[in-house]
Amino acid sequence: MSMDIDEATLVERCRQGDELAWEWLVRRCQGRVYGLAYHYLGSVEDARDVAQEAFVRVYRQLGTFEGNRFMAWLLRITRNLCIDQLRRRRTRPPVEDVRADEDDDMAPRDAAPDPEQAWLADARTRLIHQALRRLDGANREVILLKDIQGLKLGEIAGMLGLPIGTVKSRAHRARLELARQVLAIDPSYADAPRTGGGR
Amino acid sequence: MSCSWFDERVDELIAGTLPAADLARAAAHAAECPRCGEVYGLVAGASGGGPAEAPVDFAEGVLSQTSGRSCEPAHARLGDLLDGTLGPVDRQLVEAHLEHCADCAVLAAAAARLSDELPALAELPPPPELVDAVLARTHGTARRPVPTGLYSFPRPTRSRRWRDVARRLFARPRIAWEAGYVAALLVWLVFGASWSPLRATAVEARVLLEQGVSVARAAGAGSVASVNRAIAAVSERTVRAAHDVSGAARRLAGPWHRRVAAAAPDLGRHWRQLVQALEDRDLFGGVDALRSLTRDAAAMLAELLSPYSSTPAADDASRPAERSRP
Repeated sequence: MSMDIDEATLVERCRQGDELAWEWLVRRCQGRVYGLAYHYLGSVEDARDVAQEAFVRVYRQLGTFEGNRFMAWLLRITRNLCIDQLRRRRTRPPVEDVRADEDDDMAPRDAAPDPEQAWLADARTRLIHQALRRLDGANREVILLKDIQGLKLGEIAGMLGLPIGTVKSRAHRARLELARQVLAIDPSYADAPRTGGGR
Repeated sequence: MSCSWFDERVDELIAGTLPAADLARAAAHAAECPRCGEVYGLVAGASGGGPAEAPVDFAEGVLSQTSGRSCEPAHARLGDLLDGTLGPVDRQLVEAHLEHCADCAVLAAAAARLSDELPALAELPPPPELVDAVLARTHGTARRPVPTGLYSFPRPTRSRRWRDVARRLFARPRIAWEAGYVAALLVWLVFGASWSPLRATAVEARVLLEQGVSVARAAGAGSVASVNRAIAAVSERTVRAAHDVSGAARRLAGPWHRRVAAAAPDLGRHWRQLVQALEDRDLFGGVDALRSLTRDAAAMLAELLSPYSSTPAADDASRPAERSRP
């Protein structure tokens, strides 16, 4: 039997040293953390390392966590580690970017039972990733944080050090730019049957 | 029948007061003349009971001559429309624009679809070894249970915070460069700046070195008289330098004067003893004065540093377990 445990309860248990609670938290959050890291870094290896380091850092800093938005805090730490990793990359010789159409392993593996729906979802995911890679860094980041990870504008503003109004207008512009890029790749995107979504 | 005849009767045609015979003639002319036929068609439509249908591109023509296309302002409000945060009036305006602008309608539909589909990308299937790797790194450093409630996590002691700050500071990779830069700056500020009270002392030190060289040269020449003169000159310079250092120290001490005086009340007397011993060339007196000065310096340092070190009582209170050990 599976029951969804309240996030605040889990965090409190972790702070009291309950290792089972910590394991539950890691298992529950790993997909989001890994997904954010992958979208920032575009590398499976780097995303895994950063995701692991993010959890370790969160574990060590649990005592300093204040507030009730644990996921936002976790994603903020992950994002900071990704930025550090990207800075370190700049000091190394550039590596060839991962081509968007090679990202077949990006699609969720727990595909829908209907093969046609699964194929549509997979193609749609690849299409969005391709379009995302065409955006500039600022637009892609705000799409990642707001539209994909669902963080609040205030949280994103805190992460990026920008006023909320600036983040909001940037988010709107970024979504339209992403829509333009998607339509440039596939003009029939808006007409295609929906495959569902939502968090 | 001419166009001028038709034009003279347009007002009556619009007002519906044109006699039947003239109306028939006007209709016949309109059927043959495109210009007058367009006017006749508009009037006939208006008098037909319903509003005249504007040409398809009429609004676009007007907009192109006035405000231009309104796609940009529509885009500016599209985000709020998709998020459901647009006011009712703006919502109607944007939706009306989308009805007549195919490009914007497609863009809005794509953006709306993205809003539905992007959240599904938040989670990616992580490598299966991720959880094990995280648990291996965290279970090895098991957390100690901490009390719950307000202030459940005790703040680290002040000395602990200072140690953490120092550790982070010295762990930085550029600390060597920065320390070298700061040291060079300090040396210049203390001895090199034009306003520095110790600048004269630095000059004296250089003179002393030059005198030392002259002593060595005199000794090498074997002239006892010249050696004595050189030694006397060095002694004189030394005493003057000592006085300069004393004065500079007093000026630097400024705000710390009272605390220093309380910690080492005999500091001045011991310093004068040292200067006197130097003047008298009294080796043992000088050693005694130096020893006293060392004790004064230790007391003075302890007093000056006291605000930055925790008291023994506070340290004991923060480590009850350790205090209970034998």
